[in-house]
Amino acid sequence: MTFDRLHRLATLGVIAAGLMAVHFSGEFPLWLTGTPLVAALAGWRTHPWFRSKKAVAGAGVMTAFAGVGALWLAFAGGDYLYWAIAFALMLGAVKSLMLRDDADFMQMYALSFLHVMAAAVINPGLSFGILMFPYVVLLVLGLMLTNLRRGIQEQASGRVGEAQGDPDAARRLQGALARRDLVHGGFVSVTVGVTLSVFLISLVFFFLFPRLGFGFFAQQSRRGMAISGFSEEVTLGDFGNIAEDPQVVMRVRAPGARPPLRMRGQSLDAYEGNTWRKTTTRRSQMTLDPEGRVRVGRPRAPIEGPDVVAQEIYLEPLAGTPRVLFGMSMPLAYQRPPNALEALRPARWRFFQDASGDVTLTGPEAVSIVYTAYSRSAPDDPARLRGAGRDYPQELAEVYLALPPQQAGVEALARAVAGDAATPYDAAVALVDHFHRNFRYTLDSEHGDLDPLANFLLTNREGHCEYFASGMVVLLRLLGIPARIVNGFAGGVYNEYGDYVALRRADAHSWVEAYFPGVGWATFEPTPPAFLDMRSGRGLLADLRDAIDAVQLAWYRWVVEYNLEKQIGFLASLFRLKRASTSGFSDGMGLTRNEIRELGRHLRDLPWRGVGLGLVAFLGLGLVSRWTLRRRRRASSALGDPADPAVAAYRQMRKELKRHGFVRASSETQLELAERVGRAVPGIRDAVRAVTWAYLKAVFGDRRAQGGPEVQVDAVRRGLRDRGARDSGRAP
Amino acid sequence: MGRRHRLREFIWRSDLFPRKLSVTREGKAVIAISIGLGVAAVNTGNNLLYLVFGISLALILISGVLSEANLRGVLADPVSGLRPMAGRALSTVLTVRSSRRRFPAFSIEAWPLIDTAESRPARVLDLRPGAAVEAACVLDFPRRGEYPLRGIVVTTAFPFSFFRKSLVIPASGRVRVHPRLREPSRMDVPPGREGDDESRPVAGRGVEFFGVREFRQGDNPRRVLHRLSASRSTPVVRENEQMGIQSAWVALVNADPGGAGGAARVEEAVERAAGLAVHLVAEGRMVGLATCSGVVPPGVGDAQVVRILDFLATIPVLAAGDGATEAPVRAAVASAQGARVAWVRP
Repeated sequence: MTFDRLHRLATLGVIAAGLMAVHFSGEFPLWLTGTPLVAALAGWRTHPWFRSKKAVAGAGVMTAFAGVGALWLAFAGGDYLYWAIAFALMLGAVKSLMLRDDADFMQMYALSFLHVMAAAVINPGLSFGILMFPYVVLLVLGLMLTNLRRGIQEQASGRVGEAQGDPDAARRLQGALARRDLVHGGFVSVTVGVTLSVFLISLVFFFLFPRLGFGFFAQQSRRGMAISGFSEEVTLGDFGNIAEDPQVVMRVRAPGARPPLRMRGQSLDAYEGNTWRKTTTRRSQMTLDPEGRVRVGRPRAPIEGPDVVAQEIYLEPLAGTPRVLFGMSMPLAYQRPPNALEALRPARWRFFQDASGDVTLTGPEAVSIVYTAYSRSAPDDPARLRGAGRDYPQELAEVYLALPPQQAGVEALARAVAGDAATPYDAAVALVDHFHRNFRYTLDSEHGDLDPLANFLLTNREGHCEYFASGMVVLLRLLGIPARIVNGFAGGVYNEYGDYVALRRADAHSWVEAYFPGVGWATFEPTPPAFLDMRSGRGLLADLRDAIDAVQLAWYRWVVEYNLEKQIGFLASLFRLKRASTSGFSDGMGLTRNEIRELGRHLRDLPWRGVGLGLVAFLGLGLVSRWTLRRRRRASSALGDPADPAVAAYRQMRKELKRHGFVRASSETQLELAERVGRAVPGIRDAVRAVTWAYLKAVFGDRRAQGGPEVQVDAVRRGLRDRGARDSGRAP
Repeated sequence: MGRRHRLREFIWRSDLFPRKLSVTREGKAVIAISIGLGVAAVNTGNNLLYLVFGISLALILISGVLSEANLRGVLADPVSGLRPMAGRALSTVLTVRSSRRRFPAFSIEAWPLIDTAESRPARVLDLRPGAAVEAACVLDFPRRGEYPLRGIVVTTAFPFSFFRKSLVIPASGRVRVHPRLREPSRMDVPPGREGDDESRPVAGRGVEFFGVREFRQGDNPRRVLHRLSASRSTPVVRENEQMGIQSAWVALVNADPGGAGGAARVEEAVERAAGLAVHLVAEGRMVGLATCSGVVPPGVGDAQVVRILDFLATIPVLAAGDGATEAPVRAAVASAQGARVAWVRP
């Protein structure tokens, strides 16, 4: 491959990697991110006009217009970052159309670096990390080739612009750029070495640079995922939109936990029209117990025992605040890993609980959360539930029995299915059975202008989980049984690479909780089990997806969310101060104040004085050995055989002369030095000349001096001493 | 010369700093971008910005380290025998060699470090281990004079062009820069004496036939007389008579006549004298140079041109107040009886 082709290919690769990093953010359309690449491809073999001054002037005008346009749009829309990046993409397109000489290539790399910086802000995904590998490799190669290109251009008499006017120079340049011998094995090995060094230094720097910034002006963040169904108002049919989205929302690790998992989120109590609404919105801040946990509900149930499951959860950033916390039903307590450093942050985490017992968390926005949920299975003993009776508390009945007027058919359906049930529990079981037998699960339910719930219950008889859960809650309330709809996630995929269960947006689910006096809220699943089958597809693709998700989790935890806590945690693990973690989600976190104090004590107790002395000794030894080596090298490279008496005498004389201030300048020959000394001290002129000539003859004259220089050196020494006695001033 | 420039010159010329490092325009841009990136990363806490920041710092660090490594084991042979002329670019060949055993060096530039000289360096793009590569270097001296050769500068901006690392390999010697040659006008060129150009009865380089002799090693084969050689059974060549040599003196008054631009006028006179001497020697005349500062005895051929130009390279401009007169010049010229004298005055 010719030099020019390789250089242009490397540059195309750099441009493409930068653009893809921007494109995978999903913020920009393909036509905008793809334009610079197309322009670079087009510019490879374009008409020479693109290399003319007119083209440059035209590009300048275009760029100016684009800049003004972007500025205007930014002012109008307020999205400065978006339009700044769009302008950078536009600049990249213009520049890549006319890559001529080394300066153009350098400017292109600068623009590409700008694209990568933009991508670092808007694309925290794994795609950024993956693209950084080819980007760095190609950037290193491209920069090295650009350096060589500059040499080639200058060898071929100036730049392309100059060469244009000179056909010979242009021909020489074309010939030089078509060389194939520059990129040989040695060049490749140097490139590989440089690339590996860049990676290594970047990573060392990345992990060691202290993350002291607490985001005074802005914070490290990832865009929150918007999921319908977890706000305080949910319209029937919202889940249908996300039911096929494989994006992972949370990862759960618990002893023996395997799918399907049911992660409870929040309950909604009021149904009106097609909308479920939460009316129990009054929240109170929860206080931490001595172990740093917050307890759910009153009276507080014990959270120890064989039936309590602790789950560690990694919850992706979700849009909207406050954020609902999830846990296997029924959650008893939540706990964040202890972190003394959080006290330093401007935004702290706070737990809140509403009247229905749902727990939310406020704190820094658009960041992932790692926490532990403690849960006990919802009551499911039929005998106990049957014996619970109908003695509902007044305030609870007011909320959970309220219903807007329903069509007559709906109430009749409730009576027909469960009117004869002996207990509320039997009624609920009959309703579940009715749904499982007579209804079909589908994501495509259309109801036109009809009341969707009534149409679902009476006519259509197919829909997704929201319809089933809503239908059952309405029927239960019509039968006088307090009930509520619960939104959360159900299903999940076990990821064997990361040993966790991943729950995706597609696993969003609704189910029903009914109240039983003296027992509490029991869970019922009206949706036919077919919905779980539809979510548990396995195969090669799914395996690949799991592997990618495990890598993605590592990317988020160790790159995107790497912080001071993890740095200190790493340091603590060096001193074995960190407690053993039950799982990996909170690795590098969870330092208590005492642990940080202990770490400080260990650091203080390090033998700093010894380290300092060692360092000084090491530096001193290095300097001494360097000096010795240089001295030896100089001695070995000095002209003449040291055993030759003429050479030895000359060196001795040089020492004497040096002592008296006569040092040979680098531009001075030996004879010129002798003349200078002779002029300054006429008495030793002949002796100095004789020794110098003897030396020169010994070194260059192919014959040895026949004795005598030692005597002359003595004469020089005496002469210099006498002169020193007469005149204590140094020689010029 | 500004203080900053002087400091840079001192560092550049000084032996105290064997390695010189300068930041290129690209390097300054990268450093500025890196600082901005660092501020943005610390401020936002965005780890991906830290990552990009790390990459940019790694590139800067590697650039500095590798440019140093790229110079290790690279040597340049000292140049000698340079006879440049002021104002005229001189192309010379530098040999750059590698004493390395394993890795090649790339993008090496080298040039002799001589005061006042502007250089276009010799470029070696690829220097394999143990190899020696010759490359052309162009030197341009603005003024005549004698300048010390301080060393050979070997420099590289490899790999990323962010930094330029340079090393001065010590070398000694002096370079005499000859004055510019001003083409003499016809009025300046003294005519030859009548009879000076007649042939003389000795073998020489004239046009008249003198005789024949046997062919010797080094004779021009074209001068072989083939018929005669065949009849004598040995190659013989033709010899011509020696032409008569016209002699001339260039008398240069290198004393400042005073007034504004006096020194410049002397410089111009030096250039005219140089041009005239070269012209006369090229005409085949025996030319001598007489000046207020000394004399170059008459001589012929290229060697005489070099002698005269060497002398003129360092000839001082005598100050007007020093009593410098034409007297020594006149005295020198007067001793040359019968020679034409071309006076060059400032």
